[in-house]
Amino acid sequence: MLRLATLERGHSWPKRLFLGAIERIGQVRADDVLRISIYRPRFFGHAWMRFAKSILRGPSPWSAGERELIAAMVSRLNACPFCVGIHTGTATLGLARTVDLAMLENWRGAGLDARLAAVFELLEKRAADPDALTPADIDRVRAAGVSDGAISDVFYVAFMFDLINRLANAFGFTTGTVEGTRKSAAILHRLGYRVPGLLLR
Amino acid sequence: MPLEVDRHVSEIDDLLREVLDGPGVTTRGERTAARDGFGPGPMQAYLTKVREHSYRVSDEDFAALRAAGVSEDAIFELTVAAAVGAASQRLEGARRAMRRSA
Repeated sequence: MLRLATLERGHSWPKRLFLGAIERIGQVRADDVLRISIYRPRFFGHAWMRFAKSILRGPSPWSAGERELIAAMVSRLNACPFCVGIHTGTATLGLARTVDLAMLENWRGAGLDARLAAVFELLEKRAADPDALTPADIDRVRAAGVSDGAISDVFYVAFMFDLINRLANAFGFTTGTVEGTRKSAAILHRLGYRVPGLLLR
Repeated sequence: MPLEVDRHVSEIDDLLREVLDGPGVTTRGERTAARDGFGPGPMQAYLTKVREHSYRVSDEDFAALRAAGVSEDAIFELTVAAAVGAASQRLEGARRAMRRSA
């Protein structure tokens, strides 16, 4: 249960019907990101979901799976168990390799390619002091073969998760069981951040 | 030529515009203050938590806000504004570093 009852049960009736339907079909609690994004989308949800789809599934030098992995790492650095759970699940499906919290914590031994290793290094530095990033930090990532477009996309994924990790932690997004999280990740992997436009009005 | 790091800025502007000007129970001034990390009474401590270490937010924080008479929708709006502000500030730091190294 979310900490605000209105985010749990305050939706207009068509949206309540929609949430109920996907819970019946998916046999899992509707994702709390979806729940808050369709609550009052003209305040928060409409531009947010468009942005999420563009950043995580739009054109990018990174594959969708790689972006999910970056999302999971940002979420780990922000200490957001809900988003770590979901996005290690989507990264696992997208990359066809096991991504879990232990892998994110011990990423240096996880056999990441040089580009992703340089990005993880950058994300760790940024988490320790977000205002301390220097041109030299950027140059180190470039030297690992990461283009400016790819570095920029890392920062946009980080923006998204800097935002949603805070909302998840503050509102108390429900982590659920391991099986529930796996199901939610599979649904997200399949639907790819597409939300019917009617729900975002 | 525009920098790669500015490619999605207009989408973030749209997001920010909705969060500051979209329909709701709080004013633009209250949301702008929350975006920058400021709020009245118990809201101040709560917003600082949301910005700096959101994993420490607890049921007690919400109880304190309710006891101070803050409505659920006001909490929702100011929390979102604070989270957007914190994320924007971090992105700005990254964009600065990218611009200086371009």
